[in-house]
Order: sequence, then structure tokens, then C-alpha cells
Amino acid sequence: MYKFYPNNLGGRSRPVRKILLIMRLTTFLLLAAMMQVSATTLAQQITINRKNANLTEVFKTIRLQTGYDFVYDQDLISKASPVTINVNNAELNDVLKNCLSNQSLTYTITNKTVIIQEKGFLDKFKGYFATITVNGTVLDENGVPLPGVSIKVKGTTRYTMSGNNGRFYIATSDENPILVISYLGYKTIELTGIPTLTVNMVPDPAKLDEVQVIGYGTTTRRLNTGSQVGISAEQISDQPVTNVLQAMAGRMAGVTITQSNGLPGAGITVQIRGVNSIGENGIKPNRPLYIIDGVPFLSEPINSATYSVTSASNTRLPSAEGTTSPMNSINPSDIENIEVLKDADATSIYGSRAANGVVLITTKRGKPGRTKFSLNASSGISEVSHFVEMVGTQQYLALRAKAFANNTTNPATPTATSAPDLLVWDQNGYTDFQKMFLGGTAKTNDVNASMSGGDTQTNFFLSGTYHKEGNVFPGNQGYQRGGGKFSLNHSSLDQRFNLALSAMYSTDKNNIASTDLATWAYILPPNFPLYTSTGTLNWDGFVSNPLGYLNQANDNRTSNLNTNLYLKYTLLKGLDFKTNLGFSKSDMTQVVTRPLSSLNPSLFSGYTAGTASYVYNYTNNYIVEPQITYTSKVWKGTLNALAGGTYQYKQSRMPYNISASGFTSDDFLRTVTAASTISTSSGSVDYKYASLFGRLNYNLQDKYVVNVNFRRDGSSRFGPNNKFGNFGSVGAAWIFSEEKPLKDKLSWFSFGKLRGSYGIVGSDEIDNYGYLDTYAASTYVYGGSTSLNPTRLPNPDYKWEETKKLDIGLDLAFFKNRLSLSGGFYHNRTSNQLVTLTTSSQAGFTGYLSNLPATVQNSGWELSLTSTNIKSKNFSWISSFNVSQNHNKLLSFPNIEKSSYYTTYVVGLPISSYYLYQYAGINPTTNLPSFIDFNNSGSITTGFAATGRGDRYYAGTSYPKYFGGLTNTLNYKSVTLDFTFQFVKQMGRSLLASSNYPPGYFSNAAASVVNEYLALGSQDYLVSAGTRGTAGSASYLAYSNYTASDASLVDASFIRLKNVNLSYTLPAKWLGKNSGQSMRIYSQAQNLFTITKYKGFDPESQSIATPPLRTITGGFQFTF
Amino acid sequence: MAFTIIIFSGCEKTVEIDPPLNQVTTDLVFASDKLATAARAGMFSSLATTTTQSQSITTYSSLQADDLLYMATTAALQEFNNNTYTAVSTSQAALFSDWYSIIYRANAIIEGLQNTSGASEAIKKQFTAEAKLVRAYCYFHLVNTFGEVPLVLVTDPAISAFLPKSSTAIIYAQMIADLTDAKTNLGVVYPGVTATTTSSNDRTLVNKFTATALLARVYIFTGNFAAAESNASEVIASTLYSLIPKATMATGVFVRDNAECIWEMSPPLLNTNQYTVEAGVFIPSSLTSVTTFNYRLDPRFAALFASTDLRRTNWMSNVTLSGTTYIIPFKYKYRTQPLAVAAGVSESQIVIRLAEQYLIRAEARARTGSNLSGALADLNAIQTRAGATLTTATDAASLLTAIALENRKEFFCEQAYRWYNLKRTGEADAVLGALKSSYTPKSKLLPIPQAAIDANYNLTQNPGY
Repeated sequence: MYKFYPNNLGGRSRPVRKILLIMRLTTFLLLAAMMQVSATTLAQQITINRKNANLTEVFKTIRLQTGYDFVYDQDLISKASPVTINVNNAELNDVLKNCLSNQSLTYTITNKTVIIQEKGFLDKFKGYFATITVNGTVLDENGVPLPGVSIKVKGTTRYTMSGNNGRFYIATSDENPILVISYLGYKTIELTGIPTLTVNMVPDPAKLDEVQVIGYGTTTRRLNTGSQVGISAEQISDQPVTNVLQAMAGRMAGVTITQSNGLPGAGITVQIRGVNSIGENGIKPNRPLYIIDGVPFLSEPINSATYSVTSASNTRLPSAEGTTSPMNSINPSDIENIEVLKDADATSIYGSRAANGVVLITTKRGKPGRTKFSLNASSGISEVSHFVEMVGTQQYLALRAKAFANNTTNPATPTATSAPDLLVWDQNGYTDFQKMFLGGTAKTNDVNASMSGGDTQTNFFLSGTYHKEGNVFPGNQGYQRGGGKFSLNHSSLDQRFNLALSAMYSTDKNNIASTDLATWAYILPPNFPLYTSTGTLNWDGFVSNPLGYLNQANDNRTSNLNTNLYLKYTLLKGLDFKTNLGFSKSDMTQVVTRPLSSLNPSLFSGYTAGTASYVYNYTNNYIVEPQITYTSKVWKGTLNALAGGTYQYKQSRMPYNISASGFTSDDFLRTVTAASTISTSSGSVDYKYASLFGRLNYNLQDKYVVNVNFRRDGSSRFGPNNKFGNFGSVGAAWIFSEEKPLKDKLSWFSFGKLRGSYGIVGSDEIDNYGYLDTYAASTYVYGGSTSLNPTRLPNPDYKWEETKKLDIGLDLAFFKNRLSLSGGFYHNRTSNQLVTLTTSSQAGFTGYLSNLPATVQNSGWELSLTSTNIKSKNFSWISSFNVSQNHNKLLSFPNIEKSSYYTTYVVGLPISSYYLYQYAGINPTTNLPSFIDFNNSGSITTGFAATGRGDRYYAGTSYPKYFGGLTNTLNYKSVTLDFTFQFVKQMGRSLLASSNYPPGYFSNAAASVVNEYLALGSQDYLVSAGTRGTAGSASYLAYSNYTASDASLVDASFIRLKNVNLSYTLPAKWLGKNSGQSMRIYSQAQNLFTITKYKGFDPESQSIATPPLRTITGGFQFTF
Repeated sequence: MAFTIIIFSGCEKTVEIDPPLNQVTTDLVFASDKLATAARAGMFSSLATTTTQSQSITTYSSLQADDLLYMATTAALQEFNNNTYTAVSTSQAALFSDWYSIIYRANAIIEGLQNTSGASEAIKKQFTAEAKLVRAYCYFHLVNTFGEVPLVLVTDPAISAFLPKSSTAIIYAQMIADLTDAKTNLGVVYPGVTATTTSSNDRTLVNKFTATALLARVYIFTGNFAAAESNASEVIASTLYSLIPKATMATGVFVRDNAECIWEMSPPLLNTNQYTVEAGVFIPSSLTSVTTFNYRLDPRFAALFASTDLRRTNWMSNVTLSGTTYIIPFKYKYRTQPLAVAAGVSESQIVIRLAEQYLIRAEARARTGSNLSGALADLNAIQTRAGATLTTATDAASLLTAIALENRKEFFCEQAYRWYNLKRTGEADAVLGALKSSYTPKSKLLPIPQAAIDANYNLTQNPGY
């Protein structure tokens, strides 16, 4: 620093003073050009009251009161206009500003000297030569240096981060820079920058000031007016999951995550605040909108992108895991955070696609600082944690014999054909098919490596992954994924231009069987011999041999490329222009080969070789989103405005879908040209989307926030008459803890916010082209011409499904934010239900796209709580708890009695309801189960009791009554233990509902199902081997009705230890001198145990399917 | 900013997409001969490949009547076997929707050719006539399966989906109008496999006589015997057709493009296939050692044939299951493509053949009493060909009894001849009531599928269901 000793105003004679002054001013100006001016002001209290006073007079008074010297050019001052000032105990800066406010003068303070100059003169220099520098150190609550803290100059894009020793350095051209210092888990601090600064960070367990990603922007928990919930990279990394969506289970209020089975790559259902759309027969998936780094991601399985969303009869190639979730191709460890947007305020900026909520996924990016390399490797095992006890051979055969004895009215002697189990197979034979087909141990290996580094101007992130997962089925089946991610950030020297580029590529391979073997493990007679005496597969009887399915090779390969370029240019202070450009491509190749040995010879007689199918699908997605944001002080608050547009083009193609047969040998099954019979189809779907959107956010003193969203959307899914729709919301928050009577007054109360929003969002989750009157080509040649067939009944008039969402929330924090609580209530109504309206098939088709006048209501509440129970230097214990409840009902449906939905839904009841017969005990006359004949028709029929058209009454809903989770995190020195319990209170269907045949049939079932049924009455009547004869028929029918009765409705509630993570960070001294090195070893488990009364495989997946697996892994993470 | 302006100015265009690559908009389809030909191929191939035409019409109806017995456990087929169908079983729902989906295609062709210009007049005339023929054929089956049904003649779902039933008289009148139109506008020569070359051999498409033969059938069902006789005579007089002679009857009647065939269906799944679905359904994988099979002929029916009757010896076969011998239908002989290829034979499902016209004319002549000797001659022509004992009776009553029996013998398990004739002649209740304990008079009509009634509140259920 250059020192400058000012003149004493009261001293020397005038000419001398003047010369000296000129000299010194010149020197000063020269020096000022080189020196860095710091703005240090000591708090000085000045009281002054003058009217139209000479400026020199005023300066004199200030000098006397403060001891500050003044240096100025007398000529300059003499030109100054007189000042009027009246201040009491004011600060020097304020007084000076006040005096010079209407003058062409400005001032600088250096070492207790005030220098007065002509305005604009020095300012010019400031622009060219730096500025003020701040050298600082950031310390945590224990006085330990805190690295990685973000330091930003308020109102600019200039920022830096603290280094390993907590030190930072930032330069700014502002006279009095306000530094905004923020770090995850700590309160954000705003300070005036001074040359040497020590910042003590204060922890904020409620994370009120943590940056929260929202649609097209960011905010903080403190100021957010919407309802959203998220998880971070840290929580994801605690869980050994293949699909990142699994990591959300039990951790998010209002969000249900259901895994359809335990096979690798299984579909995951994400439902946010209930089911809005009715679809038909529950086929409509009600999927949320997924956005990855601003680019909409496929929500439907890649291989069904060209298919209908509402039809179950798609000819998609089967695979055991069911519908494959496209999210599988995203490496969980590349994800920085996931935010689930729930209410209208949070979602309506996504307009027409937001009705089912929005899942915003942000991937990892580079951070300025030391170049860091991190390696994470783990390995583990998975297995089925619960098997079902089946009927054993002796009981099974006894029931079979009894069944044939019972069917006396019709000759029903067992024959080798009708009962090989009794007459041909080993009477003592027994195979535990569950152990055999699902009892394997699946091995999991996972390696992730990442590297990041750079400075505040340019930084990067690079990662690679390999994941391999076996299957519990016999054989060498499994799932493999490999991928890489690259991200680059750059900003220009003046920080006005910013660029962020990211690319993510992954490829996976899934070769698990095409059929879930759980079905076969369940129904096969226990003495079924899998092989004949000659060693070939046994096809005796009516069953298919599951080893046949294992012999069918299923090869599914997908690849996924997501790229994204973000450009930003600051046009003026507060005015930014941004553009988001995205491209993604997902593709999937499927080959299924079914060798002759895998085919049931009675169905494929005459075949000399097997059959095969080959399918290829891809989807290209392009998006451009230009945006303008403007931030400005308006009155006493801050206004943030956003305006933007979206243009999206999605192109899905199925170039071929080939079924081939007539091969000369099984050796050629992978070569389509070797087939003599080939049937090919193809598909294509285009989707275009264009929108304009805007947001106005006004924040008044961090106390009152109003947020208004608007979006106008056009989608190619709609006909010419209704292509465009308008959506929007109004949200507001009142941070009442900032009000004077509360602010800092109560020691136990630290934060309180009341927020609410109302808005309209939409859904376009419906088939493409529904308005288009077209013909599709088929390969069938007739009379020398290929065929064209009508595709659908067109309807040009259907439009958006509309959901009106109301949300009220209360966020509270107590005890310095150690206990925080968030409660919410919502009320959503969805109308204009977009469905394939079922028509009588006399119209040529069984339906066409249309809007139903039905309204579905979802209302409920959510509560989340986070508490820092213990926090000391060595030990901490944090608990998070959430619970939610949703009520779903079909609110209204005018003229439902005239629609086909009269037999599917009842107004006033939930969309997904259990309509079952009411079991009424054993009828003493027939000795068979009987049921209440609600409509007194004399027989039991399938219609609804509520409408008088049958005997199925409303017995409950399949939706959970309530659900939630509890996560505890314990830290002791270097050891961390996390565990999460997930709980769901719900009704479900027992295995009885999936056990289709009565005891005595050629099919096995769970011991509980059979024994509970037999306990009802006499085996003379209940046991049956077929529908032959009146007795057999009645017995079968009674059992059939029994499986569809409320006897199958059971409590399927469960509490599951969803996740445990135990990790230990090795002491730094073990690793050598470099303080940046760290090593962590950990063990993680998923689905460790489940507490439930449910007797089937699993209360979550229910029915007969491979249940979600128990996984235990161990690994290490090394960073240097 | 500039982009935003583009969105404003070109709002509609930004979200306009082309039709899927494999689809053509309807206005283009009927603006060109080539695409219209493809739409017509779609109508015919859909009919030929639909399960209802290729299989169910034969199996269900034969079970409902007294030809066929069901041996396995599928509930829906047991219902047909026992005539105990219910409104919720899905099998008849498929019959209902299959016929109507073909009718939609026919209506779309008729409307499309009428509303769009571009296709040549010759094509318009021919294809409209063909579509009307197909429409009438579908309604014939619908009326005989379900009784009164909605008469749908347009494609607009706002109208078609909510139409109530029409009386059978009105529907028959429409069939006669459509077939008369078709007969007028269709040529004598089969259109053949390509637009440029014609071949009288490929009978998967239709000609004037297909319409005439169907008219004869419709007239006999509506009791207009004079018209039935004259139309049947026209067909019989045509030199295009002749009965397959006795010598080659064993293998000649159900093969592709034979001389007796008036209309045949294209093969299932692929146009190059050489076998029929019915063969796959009726014939088990082995005739000598099977573990299970589904259908057998009622032995009481098989007993009606003289042992030397060529239809008994060639159109039926024995199957042995656990030591017991059963008789199965064996008109079509190749159950899979490889078997037919190996034998070098192409079989097609024969929809209308000349033998029927002889029996229609015989019955019409016997009913009017105008030409009893002609009736006997027609009857004897069929009997001679089959190597059966010739009827000698000359009175109308005996002749009608003999013609009915011959009809049954000639057309067993061949689509729905027996079932429709039992109902047409009013014998169903007496014959089937005596045979099946679960048969009730309401069983003559299938119930209208519940799903259709649920979706169309104007549609009423058939009596008794």
C-alpha cells in the first residue's frame, strides 16, 4: 500500500497550501492510478445541522467531530453549491454522500483522510485499473478454516471460493462492495468488503439459504414460494441403487416410489401427490416430467416411444423386468441433486406437462479450486429376502387325488394326460422352485472415477463409471452399464459472458430372461421334473417348462447421450440473456432368440428351429430455450423477471420390429436373413412443442415475496382446433419471522414462513396423432398390392387435461434452526380428463382420443421435520422425518351412466379401488363359499353393487393411507451412520388374488392360500380338478369368486429398513502430507429387512413377481 | 429475442408435424389409384386374417350347432359348446368387433372414393362395388350371429358409435341393395393379382358372380326363393366354375384357386403362406399319439354318412387319444406352413363354392314347387360328386329333407352353414334342445357384448341375457 499524508487544513499560509495541494493532488492522482483504493470507514458519529452552508464549513465541522483530514482543490470547492444538512449521530459515509449528493464532486477515504475530487475523473480509472481487493479467511463455527465457501460480490457475477485454508481473494470495482458469503448448511452472510476480512460462518441446519434449483432458475429455501422437495448427491451416494429414482424412496413427502420387481433395470413408478388422470383401466402412467439440466428426458421406456401410451396391447418385446425405466442409463453418482416440484407455483412454469409434477435433475459440474481426483469403488451382493412357503409334494398330491375323487358326476379318472403329476412323475419328487429360480445371489460391482478442477473462470468435471449387476435367476444373466460425463464452465474475464457445456453418455446391456420366473416358481407342481429321463427338457402336462424361458436369450442394449450447452451474456447490469441448447439421443436394440429347445413342442410342432425377434428403437430430442432475465431494485424490494421461449422437437423411430421363424438351424437365430418367414413392422412418432413463458418475482425486504408464472404452450399432440393452451400460477410467501415483533425477539423461534399458491397446469400425456385421419401400411400383400389400413378414429377437438392446484404451506424453524418443520396442505382438481374414450366396437374401433367431463380430486397434507438432536465437536445426530397423506376421488362425472366408465368407476370413490365380492361364509346347501348378492339378482355378477348392476362393492383403495420415512444420521468423529426407514400404510391383495386355481388343480399355490381356503369348509366340495360336471364347475366358480372377494384384501402395510450406510473416513495423517487427500471406506445396504403382516413375496410389489432385492455392498472412496 | 418473434409469428407452424413415416393421410389415400388399391387390399387382407373369419366363425358356430364337440377346458369354448354364452365373455365381443372393423374399412373406402377426387372412375366404380360386397358379407354374419345390430354405414364416430339396433329386415334390405350394386358394377373376370394383368385363377378378390352367389344366399335366407333360384342359376351357368369331379374331390375342393371356388380368403399372417388357420385348429400335431387335442366331430353326425361317402373318407380323419379313436374335421389338411410346403400343396380358406349354389337352387326350386325335377337334379349333382347314395324322391317335402341333410353333410365345419341353416329353418330349438341339456331358445342369438352396451347407451341387450 502506498501511504499518502494529507495536509492539515488549519495550518500553513494560503499560497503555500495551494502549491502543496496541487503537488500533492498530482501525486495523489498518479499514485491513485496505481494503488488499490480500499474503502475503510471507521464508524464515526457525526451530528450536524446547517442550512445553505458553505461546503468548507461543513468539512471543518466534520473534521472536528471525527479527526478526519480533508484534501481538496480550493477552486473546486468554491464552485460547489451550498449544502443543507441535518443529521444526528450519522456515519461519515452517509454525511459525505449527503453533502455531495447534488454536487459534481465525489470523495475517497484513505487512512483517516477524505479526498474530494471532481466526479467522473477517478471513476474512469476505476474502470480500467482495479479496484478494491479483499483478502479474507472463512472459519466455521469452531474456528476451523472452511474451504469451498462461495464469495460473491452482490449485484455482479464476480465470485470466488475459499481455498483449503479457508482463504480467499476477490477484487471488485465497487466502492463499497457487499460480499455474499454462502456455504451449504450455513447461513448466508452479507458483509461490506474490507481489505482484510475474517468471516465466521454460522451453521444453518434448516438450510434456509441453500440454493434451490427451480424451473428456469434458482432461489433459496427461505424465499421459495413453491412447494418442492429434494435430495442431494450425498444422500444418493449413501445408497447402492442402480436407478437414481430408487434413492428417493422414503425421503420425500408427497412422493411415492414403487419398484415393480427386484430384477435389474426394473420399472420404477414415481407418483407425486396422487393420480390425476384416470386413463382407462389404470393404464395411463401419470408420469411426472423429467428434466435433466434443462433438457426434457424420456419418461416412457425407450422401446415404447413409438407406441400408444394408453394401450396395454402393445407388441413391445417382453422382458422380465417389465417396462424398462430410461432413467437406468443415468449414473446416480453423476447427479448433484434432484428436486421434485409439486405445487402450481413450482410447476406451472412447465405449463402443459406439469400436472403430474416435475422432477428436476441437476448433474455435477466443475468447481474452481485444486484439481481433484476421486475414485469410488464398491462391490456387493443382492438376494431375494423373502420366499413364500408353498404346498409340498405330499399335500399337493393328496389334494390332486381328492379332486379326482370329488368329480364323481363326470367320468374323471386321472389319466397320464390329465394328471401326469399323479400318474407319471415321481410321487416323492420335490423341487423348491423358488430357491432354484430366484434363490441365486446377484453380484454387484460399481466403479466411479471423477476429476474436477479449474479456476473461477474455467473449470471442468469429468467422470466415468462402470456398473455390473447380476441376477438372482440361475445362469449368467445380468445388467451392465458404462458411461462418462464431461462438463465445462467458462466465463469471460469481465464475467459478462458465461458458458456451460455438458455431455453425458452411457450404454447398458441387459440380458436377463424375457419372463419373470417367479410366476413359474409359484405355479409349478412341486414334483414337476424339469428334465425327462433322457435329459431333455420336460414338457409333460399343461405347464411351460421355465428352463425353456431361461434358454431364450434376451439381449437388450441401450445407449443414451445427453448434451447441453448453456450460454449467458450480461447485456446490462441486472439484464441477462441466456440460451439453453440441448440434444439427447436414446436408443435400444433388442434381440430375443428362442431356440427350439426352449419352445413347448406341442405348440411348435413341425418347427425344425427356433424363432427370434429383433427390434431397434431410437429417440432424438432437440431443445432450444432462449431466455431473458432482469433483476432490479423496485421501490424497497427486488424484482426478478424472466421471459423465455421453448422449442422442442422429439423424433422417435422404430426402424424395424422383426419376428422371424423358419430357420434351418438354431445356430442362425441371430441372423435374420437365415429365416424363411419374416414379419416386419416399423413405427415413427414426431413430437413438437413450442412455448412462451415468463415469471415475475418480487421480494420485499426478504419479508414478502410474490411470484407469478405464465406459460403458453403449443403441442403437436393436439388437433388443429386446440393446439395451444395457457397455464399459470400466483404464489406468495410471508416470512413472518422477519416482522419486527418476532425478529430476533424469541430465542427459541428462528424462522417462520407462510406460503400459498394457486394455478393451472396441464397434461399432454396422450398418444400422438390422435387427431389425424390416416392409413398405415402393413406388409400383407393382397391381390398384388401392399395393404393400407385405417389407423384410428380421428378427433380434431380434444385438448389439454387441466389440473388446478391449490397449495398452502408453513415452514418453521426453532432453536437457531436446529429444528425445522415444513407442513403443507394441497388440493388439486383435474378436469378435461384426456382418455381414449371407449366406444362400442360398432364404430370400427373401440375408442378414440377425447376429453371426459370427469374431475378427479387429490387432496392431502405433508409434513417434514428435520432435527439436529445432538451437535457437539465429536458427535452429531440428525433426524429427518416425513409423512404424507393423499385422498383421491373421482369428484364428478356427468352422465357417467351413459358412458363405458359406468362399469369402471364410481363417482365419489378413488380411481384405483378394490371392488370385490363380500365373502359371506360357506353356504350350508352347496358347501361352497358364498357371497352377498347385493343387487338381489339371484347370482353373483361382476358389476358394481353401488350402481345396482352387480355384486362387487367398494372394499378399499389401493392407494396408501399414509406413507413416509425416517432418516437418522449419526456422526462420531470420522464414523458416519445413516439409516432410513420407509413406511407405508396400505391395503393390498394377498397371494390368493394371484392364485387362479382351486386346490386340486394342476397348479401349485402358497401353503397359506391353500390351507386358509381348505379351513373354510369341507374338502369334499372345495377341492376340484376341473370344471367338468356341475359340481366341478360350481367348485371352480366358487373359488374364482373367492379370489375376487374381500377375503383377498389384506393389510399390506410395511416398515422397511430401506437403506443403511456406515462409513469411516480414514485419519488424514495416515494418508501422507497432502492435506487434500481423503479416504473413506463404507458399507451400504438396501432393503435390509421389512416388518409387515403381508404374507406374499413383498408388500411393495405384491402379486407374484421377483420382490425388490436385499443388497449389501462394501466399498471405498479415495479423493486426492 | 428474434427467436421469440418467430414463435409469435409462426405459432401454428412450430408445432405442426408430418404424419408418421408409415402412415398416409386419408385425403391422399383416395386421391390416387395406387393408394386406393392398397386401402382395398387392406380391407380384404384384414377380413382374411381376422381371427373371426379365419377361425372363429367356423369353430364357434360348429360348436353351437351339432357338428363339433369341444374336448378341452377353455371356458369360452365350453360356453359355445354348451350354448351358455354370457354377455361378458370376450369371445363374442371379438366376433362383434371384428365384423364391424371390416365394415369400417368398407365404409371408409366408399366414403373416401366418393368425397375425394383423384382416383380414376373405373377404380371408383369397382372398389365401391367391392366394398359394398364385403360390407354385405359382414352384415350377413352379424345378423345371423347377433340378430338385430346397429346398421353402420358411415365412419364418423359421433354418429356410428351411438346408433341403436336396426331390424333384421332393414339390414337384409341393405345387404340386397349393396349386393345388387356390386353385381351391377363388378366385372365377370376376377381382377387378378395386379392392376394390369388379370387372372381368373386368383379368387381372393371378387367378381360379379361372387356378388351373385351371395345374393342367392341372402335371398334364400329372406325367403325370396325365386330370386335365390335365378341368382344361383346365373352362377351355375357361368363357365368360370365347375364342381370338382369325383375323381379329384379328395384333394381338390379346398385347395387354392380350384374350379369350384367362387371366393377364397388369402392365407393367414403372410400372403405367401400355404396353409389355413382352421387346419391348425382342428388337426392335432399327431393323429396317432397325441396327449391332448381340442375338437372332435360328434360321432352321431359322422354316423350319418355311408362308409363309402367320399366326404366321410376324405374330409374326416381319425385321431387316437389314450387308446380311444375320435373323428376330426379334415377338409384342410396342412396344419403348418412347413407341412404344406413339404407336400407342395397350397390351401386357402374357401368362403363360397359352387356346391352351395346347387343346393340353394335345389332348395329354392323345391320350396316354390316350380321345378322339382330340377331340384332333384341339383341335389343329385352334389351327391354324385360325393359318391353318396342318390335321392330318388320327387315330392317337395322329401326333397327338402334330403336337401337339408345334404347341406349338413357337404358343409360341416365349413364356416357357419349348419348353425345358420338350423336357425333359418326353425329347427334349432327342437334339434339342439334334444341334444344339449343347457340349450335354451335364447341361445340362438349371442348376447350383444356388454362392453359395447356399456359404451353405447342406445344399444339394448338381446332377449334373455
